[in-house]
Amino acid sequence: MSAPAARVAQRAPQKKPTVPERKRPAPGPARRRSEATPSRTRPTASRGAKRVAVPRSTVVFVVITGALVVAIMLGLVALNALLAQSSFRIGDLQTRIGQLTQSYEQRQLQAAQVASPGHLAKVAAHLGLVTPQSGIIILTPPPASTAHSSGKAVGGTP
Amino acid sequence: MRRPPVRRLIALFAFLFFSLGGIVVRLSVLQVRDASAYEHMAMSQRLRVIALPAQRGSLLDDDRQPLAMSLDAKDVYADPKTVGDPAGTAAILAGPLKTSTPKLEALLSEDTSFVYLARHIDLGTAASIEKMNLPGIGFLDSSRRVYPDGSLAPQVLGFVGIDDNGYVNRGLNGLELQYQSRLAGRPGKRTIEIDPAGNLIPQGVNKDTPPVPGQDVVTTLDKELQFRAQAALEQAVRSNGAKGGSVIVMDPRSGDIVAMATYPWFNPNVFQDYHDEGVFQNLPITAVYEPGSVNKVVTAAAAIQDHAIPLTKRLLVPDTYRVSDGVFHDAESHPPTEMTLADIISQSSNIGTTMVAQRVGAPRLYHFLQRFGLSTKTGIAFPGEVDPILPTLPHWSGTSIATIAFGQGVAVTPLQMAAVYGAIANGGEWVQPRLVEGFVGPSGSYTSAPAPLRHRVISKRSDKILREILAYAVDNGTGTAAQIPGYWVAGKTGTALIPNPAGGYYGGRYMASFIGLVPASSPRLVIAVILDQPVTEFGGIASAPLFQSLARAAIARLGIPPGTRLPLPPHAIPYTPGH
Repeated sequence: MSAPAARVAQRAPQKKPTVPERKRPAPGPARRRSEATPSRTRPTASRGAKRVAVPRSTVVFVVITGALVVAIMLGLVALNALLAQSSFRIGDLQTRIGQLTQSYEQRQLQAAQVASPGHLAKVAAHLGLVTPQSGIIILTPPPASTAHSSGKAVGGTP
Repeated sequence: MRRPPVRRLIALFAFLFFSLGGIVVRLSVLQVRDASAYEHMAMSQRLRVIALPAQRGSLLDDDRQPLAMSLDAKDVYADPKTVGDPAGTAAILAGPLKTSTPKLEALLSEDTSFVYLARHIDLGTAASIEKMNLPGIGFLDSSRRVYPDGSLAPQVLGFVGIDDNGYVNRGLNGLELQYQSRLAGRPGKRTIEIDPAGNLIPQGVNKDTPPVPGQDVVTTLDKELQFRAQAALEQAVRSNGAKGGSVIVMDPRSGDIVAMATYPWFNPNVFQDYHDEGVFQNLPITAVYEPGSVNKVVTAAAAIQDHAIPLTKRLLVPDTYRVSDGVFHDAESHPPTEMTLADIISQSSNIGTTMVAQRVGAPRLYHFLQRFGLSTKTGIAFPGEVDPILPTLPHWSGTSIATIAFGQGVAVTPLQMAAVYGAIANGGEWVQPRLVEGFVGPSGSYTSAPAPLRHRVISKRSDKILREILAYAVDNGTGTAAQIPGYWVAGKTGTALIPNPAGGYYGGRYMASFIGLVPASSPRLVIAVILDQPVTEFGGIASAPLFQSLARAAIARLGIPPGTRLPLPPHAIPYTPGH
């Protein structure tokens, strides 16, 4: 027999186990492990009658793995969306900060303009007030208790 | 079975090997050797760096109220190549941008891809233009400088604009220029990653290097008093038919300038509308004038300090006097009159002052001129302070002892003259004037400006005598128009001829001044007023009333008590009580 023919003959028993599958025991992690292990590690033709069945939990494994992958992907997508949303939110808040800063600056300017002496003088003149052009300084006599303190100018008369 | 030719297999293998090898080599070149370069190229396509301008600091008054502040603004630019209808666009934008349609149309028709249409426009206007979605019109972030009080102390504050090198928001004058580095701050930058359409990539690079805002500069100006000073100055200039005028109000104890004004002034918000650059000059610091009789206090101070003349000594003062090759006159003719030092100063006699100066001697007079700070700049932190013109002693002519003694032949700044009176007000100690008291950093921390320089000029005793003489000048001399009923004022008038650059002096043109102290016994303020060529000519007539008006405002504003009346100095001319 040629070498290739020999290799085919050796491989033949591995393709399809001939021993009928034993009745499936009650599901349990320990049992599944103990049964599955020989089938993966020792699939030889010489022990054909005692060989263990193919893993029964493949479907479960595939389903769980698939669910896990889908969950992870969904999680990543959700995380990505959240991050993007946060970026937009930060952008919006930065815009809002800018608007509020501008508003604050405008208010500051308005306050400064309204409080400026020139504006106050105009308003006062509009109300009929006039700046005193002459007058004298009148000092109030210091009270007895503060006789040692110096007097203070209290303004003049128009 | 026929085996494939070995050579063909080898050839195929070699072909595949070298092909794969080539790919590997090329990949190595791209991914290893040139990786950083390509990465850099890719990033440069996606990254955009946006400059973040630093907020310019404010100029504040002594109560921390803003005198100058910066607001966010926009620059409007156009790409004329993408503007479809220059005439139509110009017509639309002319109104909001407050410019003319032809001017805008000319800009929009230029053969360029970038042209500024307007700078520093307010955000509301920019937003309204942006809504129009005009093709080829764009906006850049900017800021504009605003002076909320308009024409309040404009020559002191200065203004901000584009300098010769094209830098925007640069101080071009006044304190804005002097403290440019402190006010400007340090700009930052924002690095963002954008897609080909120019949209921000949400999770891309978004890195900010925040700008460092500029410091606020706290000036010594009192906004209220500054306004009153300007109002009084404007009224005095008009009522006296003067060409202009200047005012300085100073606290002699600290050297703080409480108010400083020059008329005519300008509005720094629209400084570009003023074509006469002379209006930008802060004349009390950047121009010299011959002070005239207000300089006589230096001669008097030297005489008192050196005991050159006893206070009770009566000199027979004629109205005409020869010194070297010059003949000098008093302002008004009078018979030879017996005068004490107090009479000479209060009556502002040129001849009497010359006689006193001769007793003092040129070297000592020059020494005191120097000590009073009339030979050098004051050193106030302000751009463009000019040097005084005081001839050095070897260059004095035979008549200098006379002319310099009564304030001609010497040119000083009004601020220097105010500082002389500041020394007299401050017990004989000269204090360097200043316009800035400190700085407020971005975090709110306050830093004081350097303490002003001080030095003693005359003794306290000499100073008290000098103030008595100056009070007497207001009470019974040329300065009676400066009197404030119920208040004790000291001061001196000055009426100086204006030198003609061609030689000699202009006839009939005078600088009329008055510098006074309130109150006389314990001065809290020095007020210097100068009117340029008033039709009323004399300092006692033109300027003393301005001083009085301003002193009243300052007294009321700052609540300054009148102090006590100083004793009358020895005098020969009969005393007529002023009040």
